[in-house]
Amino acid sequence: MPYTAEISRSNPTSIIFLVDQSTSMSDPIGGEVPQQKADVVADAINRLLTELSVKCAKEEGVRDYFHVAVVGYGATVGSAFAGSLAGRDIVPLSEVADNPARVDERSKKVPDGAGGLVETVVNFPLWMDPVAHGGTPMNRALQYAESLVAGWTERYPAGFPPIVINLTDGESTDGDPTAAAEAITSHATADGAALLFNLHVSAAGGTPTAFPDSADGLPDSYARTLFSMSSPLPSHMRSYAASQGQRVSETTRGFVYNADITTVVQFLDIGTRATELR
Amino acid sequence: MGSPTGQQRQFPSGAAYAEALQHTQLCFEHPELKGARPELTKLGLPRAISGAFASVFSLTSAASGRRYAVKCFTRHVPDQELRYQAISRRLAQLDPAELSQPWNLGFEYLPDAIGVGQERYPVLKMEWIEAVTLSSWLDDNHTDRFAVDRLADRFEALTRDLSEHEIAHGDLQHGNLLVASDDTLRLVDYDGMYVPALAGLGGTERGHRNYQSPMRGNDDFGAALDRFSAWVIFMSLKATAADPALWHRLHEPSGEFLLLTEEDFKSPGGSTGLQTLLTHPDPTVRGLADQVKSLAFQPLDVLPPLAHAIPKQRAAATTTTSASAPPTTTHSGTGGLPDWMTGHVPPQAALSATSPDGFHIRTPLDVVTAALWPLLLAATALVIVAGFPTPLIGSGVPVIVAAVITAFARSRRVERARSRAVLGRLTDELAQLDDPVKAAEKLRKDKAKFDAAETKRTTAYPQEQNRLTARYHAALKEAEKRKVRKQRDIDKKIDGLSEDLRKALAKALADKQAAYVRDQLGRRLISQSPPHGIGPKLAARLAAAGIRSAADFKGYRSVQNNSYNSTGAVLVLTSGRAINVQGIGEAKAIALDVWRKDLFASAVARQPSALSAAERQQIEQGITHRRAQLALQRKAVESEIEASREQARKHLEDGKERLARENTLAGDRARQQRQEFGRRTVALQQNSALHGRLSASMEAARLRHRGLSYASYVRFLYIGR
Repeated sequence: MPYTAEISRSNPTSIIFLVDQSTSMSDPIGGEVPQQKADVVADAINRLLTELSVKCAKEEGVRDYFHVAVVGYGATVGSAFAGSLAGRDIVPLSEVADNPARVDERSKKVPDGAGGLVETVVNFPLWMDPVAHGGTPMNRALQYAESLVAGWTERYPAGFPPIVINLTDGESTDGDPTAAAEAITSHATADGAALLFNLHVSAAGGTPTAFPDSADGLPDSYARTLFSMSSPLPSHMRSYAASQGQRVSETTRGFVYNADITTVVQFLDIGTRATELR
Repeated sequence: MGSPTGQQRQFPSGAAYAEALQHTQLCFEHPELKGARPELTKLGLPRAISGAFASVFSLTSAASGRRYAVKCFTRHVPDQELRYQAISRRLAQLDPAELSQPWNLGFEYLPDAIGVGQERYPVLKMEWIEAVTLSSWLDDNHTDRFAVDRLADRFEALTRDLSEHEIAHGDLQHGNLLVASDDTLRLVDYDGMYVPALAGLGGTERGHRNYQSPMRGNDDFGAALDRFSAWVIFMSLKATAADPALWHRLHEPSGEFLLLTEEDFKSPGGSTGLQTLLTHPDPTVRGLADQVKSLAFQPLDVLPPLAHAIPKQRAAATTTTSASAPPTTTHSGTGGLPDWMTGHVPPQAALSATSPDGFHIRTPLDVVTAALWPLLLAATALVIVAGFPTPLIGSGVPVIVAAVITAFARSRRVERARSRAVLGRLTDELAQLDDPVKAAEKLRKDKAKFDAAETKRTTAYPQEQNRLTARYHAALKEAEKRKVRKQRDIDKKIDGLSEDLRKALAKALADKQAAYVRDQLGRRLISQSPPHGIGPKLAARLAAAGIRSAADFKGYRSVQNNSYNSTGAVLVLTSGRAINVQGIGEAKAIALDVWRKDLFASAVARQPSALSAAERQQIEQGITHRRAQLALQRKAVESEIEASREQARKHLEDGKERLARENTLAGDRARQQRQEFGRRTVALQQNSALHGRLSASMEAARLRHRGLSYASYVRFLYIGR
């Protein structure tokens, strides 16, 4: 059965994030307090890296169950890590955990226990900064990811296949990305084909949709293209999504349209709970 | 799957807890935890130890200064509070004095203890213990055979404590078994624990994959839950105690297992690790490995408890006495092999690759052969000394006889036969394996070929797409050209319509005038008002020739008659035919023509000079109709071209769809192919390890075989080894 390989330090898997950094990512999104799309996406990645680090923390420190790449695409295509990891592609998680670019202090309102709210400051580690500049060379980004995926499957032919998560606001400016996406998922380990998930952050409106099983009801052709590019969720991810209250079926795909920030984190979270970590 | 349906509560993530725990003054109400100081990472975030269902944080109470492990849940567990209360009650009933070691931990389940965001969630508050996980303890201590052996016995005693009270931990593994500084065990993580009060509730997890029987299912939950994992851990500890080198040979430095993994239990045939243990020189290791191998395919509840592995006297020596004594066993001389192993240990196991070197234990034939040499040598000496006149060669006969008999006796030695058998078996096994170097080369070549084909395919795909698009654009261009040409032709015709109107009007007028003149001329009959010189007779002749009125002819032509040198004339009819009428000569013809011309001139003078309004309108209507027709044609061109554009677009879309379909199919094939390559690589690695092991055994067997030489046999005859 595919997608059942143990994810362990001797058989790790890799998660490759592709982050749209085109000019249009400076557009605002969201309800009451609009945020730049680039901020939303950068926050999501930073939160997720924290999440992964906590998830893989054991007595002696963070274990390298995952190796992580964050690839930005906009004016250029390449590593989006800031700080001491700048320029690196696939980095073992323990190294990621120890080397954020900086730790910001962010203010946050929390319940004071007496029915009111009190403002507190929390530490927020950052690995990448929001960028919005240039076109949307999605094809080049997918090809870049493909080369990373190819190298990884060569290195760990028996392991859980790599997961590519593409965060974008839509239109590729260097052609139809379908074939490049297909090329990624044609790489495989003995445990199954590489997975490609897409997260569409769009200001075009329409109903937010998480893990749909058909393209019906998606508002535009970009969303439909991204949907058709996305891998079906492997069965354990489906059951995890179902246990999180998502409606899923056999043909559910790893695609989220116009997600608000909580759905973003949830989506990525499910994407990374590849199998039970043991 | 397996869990009850219905609204399941969503829990915060580990990072969300870590964020909330930055302000313990706010997130906790419990007096011991409120304001407690979390242990931090170097980034200043609370340090977590995470599992699949929870993250555990270390907190030092501000109130008491005591340190706690606080477990925060990241996933819904059905009936969690009920389970923890039942487990807590059961563990509280255990009498510490009766336990083999203080392995159980105090904990308190606190509902709604921690605030994360707007909600409150339960935590499990546990005492903090200073201890290391079993795997890191083994990393540090595996060479201390005595300590490891003692730990194995303590582990067995721990499992006995559990089974005596019908408790099962559910997930016994290297991370949940901690070793305290006095080398006694602590058991942590009671999430999946079974106690009798929970019978019928069902399990919440399936335990660590590298410690579970392939037969364990989702619904298994009962007192026998730990049996398989207990055997796996006990075997690993005993094997490491017997041969500390095994820890480095079979345990990977960061592997989530001790000596064996899930794969070893699932497919023992292909397992290098299990084979190593099954053929180990130490019979205890072999026996335990064989036990684990056979237990992997039996239902959980028929597995024997670990206590059966321990002979009574040793158990008594290392653990406190227990109520139910393990079965008494007596031992023969099988090197401390407990009862249950009889029948599990393969009888040839000792022979296989680890048979002792050289010859052992002389047979009667050896004794006879040994006695033969001095006898025959003495006989030879006697013959020579006695000076019997035998040829020199004859004196050597007894020596040759002794040598031949020795060779025969050596060939009858069981060691030779066994050694040959071992060599033969190894040769067969090696022959059955593909040469890993060749297989790797073939795999590399296949992969390179495939990669080249894939590169070609993936570059060809966009090219094909571009070609389709280019063809589409060419078709559009061609259609546009055709449209422009056709419409230009039509436009020219439309532009010419006013000129056509003018011409038509002029022609209609001219026709009308001509008709008037012809009519007038027709009315003047030659018979009624004959011209000068034309009498009734001539008029009758003219009428017979078809000329009755001025309209019937249009002139005359003089005719020269050369034979008479005279000049005559023929009349030219309206139809252009010339006729000769008897009696009409040139003069009469001229008179007729003058008459006709006069009549013609007066008719022309009276002819109409314009068309009537009705006539004019009819002509204009004709032109308007034509204009409308042309406009229709122009429109038809438009839609005709649109149709061919549409056709080209459909062609493009069909083509693209076909390409995409083909590409998807090719992608599927590539995926399968790559998966297959992955499988081959893994098989190759296993094969190569097995090949290496067999080759090494082969080399050792060859050396041993060489050790069974003639000389060593002779030595054995007299020395006995």
